[in-house]
Amino acid sequence: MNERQFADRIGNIDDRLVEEARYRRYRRGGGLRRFLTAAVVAALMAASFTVGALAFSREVPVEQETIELPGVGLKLVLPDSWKGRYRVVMDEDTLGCDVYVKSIYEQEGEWAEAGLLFGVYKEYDYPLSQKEIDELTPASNWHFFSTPDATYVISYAGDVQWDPSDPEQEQVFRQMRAEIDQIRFLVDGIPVH
Amino acid sequence: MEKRKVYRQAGIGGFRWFLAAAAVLALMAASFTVGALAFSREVPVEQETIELPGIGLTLILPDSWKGRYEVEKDEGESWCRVYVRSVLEKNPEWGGALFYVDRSYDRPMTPEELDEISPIACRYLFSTAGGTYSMNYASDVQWNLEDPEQEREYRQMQEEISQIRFLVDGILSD
Repeated sequence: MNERQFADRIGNIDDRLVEEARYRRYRRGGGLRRFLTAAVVAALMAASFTVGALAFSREVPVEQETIELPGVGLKLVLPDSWKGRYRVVMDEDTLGCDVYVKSIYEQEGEWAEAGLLFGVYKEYDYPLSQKEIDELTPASNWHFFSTPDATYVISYAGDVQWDPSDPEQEQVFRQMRAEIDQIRFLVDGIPVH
Repeated sequence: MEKRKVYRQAGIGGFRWFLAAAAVLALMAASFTVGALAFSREVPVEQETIELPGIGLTLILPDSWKGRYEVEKDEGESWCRVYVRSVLEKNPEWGGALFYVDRSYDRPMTPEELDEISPIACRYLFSTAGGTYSMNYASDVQWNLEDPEQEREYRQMQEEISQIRFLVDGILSD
C-alpha cells in the first residue's frame, strides 16, 4: 500500500477489512497444514494400493491348455503354444475325443472338418496284455496307455489332413503334429489293488 | 463465531469439506484398483511334486503332505522312494518308507503279469508302449512301535497315497 492508498484508507477501516486481515493471517499458517494434508492423503493412497495388491495376489492356477475326458478320469495337458489353435470334438459318452488343427477344421469347402491330429479313446475296461497289443497294433500310428481298469487307444490319421494346394495349412499341421510328443497325460484315481 | 464468518467469506464450508473427502475416497479407490490390477497376475500354484525325468513321470502329491515327507532318488532320477519325515528324523533305524515308484519293466504288462513276475508286492500303476510303471510298498513296520504319534502319522499318509496323481510324459512320442 503506497502513501496515497494509505491516505485514502484513513478513517475508512470497517469490519470487512478487519476480517479480511484476520483471514489472511489464518491462511498464512496453512502451508504446513496443506503439507500435512497431502502427506495423509498420500499415506491413505499407499495403504489402499497395498490392500488392493494383497487382496488380489492370491495364487491362482496357471491356465493350461487341457482336454479333460471326464468319463475316464484322464486329462491331456497340451503344449502352451496350442492355445487357440486346436479344436476338440468330444465323443458323446466322453470316453474319447478327436483333436484337430482348428484353422483347417473350420475352413469351408472340400477340406472342411479335416485336420485330424490324433484321437484318444478308452477302448477297453481292462489293461491289454502284450499279446493283445501285438495283435491289435496293425499300424505304426497306434499308441496305447493302460491303467488297471482301462486301455486307451491313441491313433493318428493315416491320410493327408490338409488342403495340398495350401502350403500354409501343411506347415501349421506339420508343426502341431511335431509337438504332439509334448502332450502329457494326467492320470487321476488309479485304483489301489 | 468470527471464525465461521471468516470461513463463509472465504468459501470454505461443509460442501467444500465434503468435496475434499470425496476426492480422497476416489484417490483411495483408484489406488486400491491399481494395486489389485498390478498383483492379480496368475502365479503358479505351488504343488507338492516329485519329478522323475528319467522315466517321464511326475507325481503330484496331496497338498497336506507339504513338509511331511522326504524323497530319495537315484542319479538318473528314474526312481524315487518317499519317507515320512517325522519317522526319518526321530528314528531312522525304523525306516519310515511309504513307497517306491519306478518303471519296473521296459515293456507293457497287465497287472496280472506284473504280479506274477514281481518278487515283491507292488501296485500296478499303468503301462505305456515303452514300459510298465509300479509302486512298491514296504513289507514290514516302518515306524517306532513305541511311538503312537509316528504310527498315526504314517498310517494317515499311507491312506492318502491313493490321492497321488501321475503326470506322464512322452506317451505320444514316435
